Amino acid sequence: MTALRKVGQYRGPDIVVHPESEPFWKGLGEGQLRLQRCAHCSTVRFPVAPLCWSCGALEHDWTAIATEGTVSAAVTIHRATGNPSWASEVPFVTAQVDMGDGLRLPGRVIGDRLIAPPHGYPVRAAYLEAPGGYGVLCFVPEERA
Amino acid sequence: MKISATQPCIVGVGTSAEFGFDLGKSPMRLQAEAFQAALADAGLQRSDVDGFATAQGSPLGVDYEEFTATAGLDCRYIDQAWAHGRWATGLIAHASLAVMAGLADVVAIANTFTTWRGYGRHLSGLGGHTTVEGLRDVGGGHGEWTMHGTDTPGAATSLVAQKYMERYDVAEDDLARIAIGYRSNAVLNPMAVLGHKPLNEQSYRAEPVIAGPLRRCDYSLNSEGSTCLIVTSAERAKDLAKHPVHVAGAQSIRSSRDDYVMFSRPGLGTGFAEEYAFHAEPQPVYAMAGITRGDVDALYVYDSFASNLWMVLERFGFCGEGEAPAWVAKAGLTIGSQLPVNTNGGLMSEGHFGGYAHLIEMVRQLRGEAGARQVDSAAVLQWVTPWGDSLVLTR
Repeated sequence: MTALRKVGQYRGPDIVVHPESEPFWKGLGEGQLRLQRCAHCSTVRFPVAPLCWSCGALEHDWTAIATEGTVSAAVTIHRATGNPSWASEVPFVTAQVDMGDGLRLPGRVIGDRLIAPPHGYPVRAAYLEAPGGYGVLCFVPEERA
Repeated sequence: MKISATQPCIVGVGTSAEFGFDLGKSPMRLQAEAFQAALADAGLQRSDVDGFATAQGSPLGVDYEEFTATAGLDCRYIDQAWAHGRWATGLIAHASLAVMAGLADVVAIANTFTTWRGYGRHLSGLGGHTTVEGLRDVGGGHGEWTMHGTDTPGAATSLVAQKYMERYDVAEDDLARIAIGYRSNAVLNPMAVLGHKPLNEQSYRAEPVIAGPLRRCDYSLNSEGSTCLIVTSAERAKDLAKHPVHVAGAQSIRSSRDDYVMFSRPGLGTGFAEEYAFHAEPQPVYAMAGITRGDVDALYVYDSFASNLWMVLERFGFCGEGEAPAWVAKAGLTIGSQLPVNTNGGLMSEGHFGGYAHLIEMVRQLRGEAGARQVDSAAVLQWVTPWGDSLVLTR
């Protein structure tokens, strides 16, 4: 699978990683978008969870998924009214991105210009480097056929 | 367990003396004011109260046992929900069921809100809950993913509003109409925190944009105040001061992957919920209350954000998918409209009291006590939230 491009350093609230979720965050730190795939019904799931939401099975493996997506919705955040770590980052764009097969992932959209792309706009998964060898998922706009 | 034919009623309502941004009063003090006001309204004594319920716990609210001990109550029924503004239906429904099953005779339901910038600045050493839900593996139930920039319910809801407005080609005017309508109602409410600040199309556009399409006035207020409602049986209500308001119907919040973005509605495809063409299902609360949607004289909506109104209008079938903005433009929101909404001004203009202040307004309307805000012949009122829960109160 395509390796993710690193687009910068993560600056934001501390990530909370625990043993069961670590493969997701570690994968991103290695430039890979790895999610859980159910061993019984093959559903690829997000968010990270110990069981499959579709069939309930516990058994799964981790698989790298395709990195192309399209914007489901994107907004510009103008004021950081929650965690103060965002204060130095506003304004920024955050989105929900459709990755195909019903999978939708969250992430900031980081591009040359500060514009929240409309529904359907093509983006590609990327990552921001975080401490501990972890990464945080984000997206970059891209021209695609 | 056995449920009797007892009809649950709300027989007393009260609030703290004021609602405001920084009242200089502790949560316990505010709750004591609301509790005493509700008792006086009902013509009841503390010794009559044998049940107590709350959702907003300490430190910004009051935990149940701190209140019963401080207020000198002796309760055999207790219900404390999570400190979130989604339990209004639940607390009233549970209290009603408790009365119907004989678990309690008289239940006081109190909820107090203070803020970290208000009295909370004195309380930070007392611990309590400050859950950062967006740090959960699944993100936050309002749609927050803290590390990805949607670290507040407002940021997450801005994505919902954006999705909706793009999908159904909705203009800023349609969004503005909601905040302007609620504020117009609030101007007639002496308790409303922003009742002195009318809002029109010009002043709306002067409001700072916070996230996506949402401006500051499209958000609920961060305010201080307390509410109390008292539930008992219709039999007990006969001996009391005021005309009882019947809890005629209830249905709970929904919970599923589709509901995991609270201020959205099924089918919109926000959070990790599926996107599909939406058709409202029949909502059981109407049949339980023995009414149809058309019988509702005024609607009370959990307006944490302006766009919530579109979600509930479609979810409960007042209009079809994508039709809510046109419905609002045609029907209006203000007192005197075809279906007034949030005659108290809502969370956005009266203050954020978790929905309980809306319920108090509904009780006053049904009693004919709403003064300048009175909806003519109000007999059937409905409380709804984007989580799919609802209460129907009747005269």
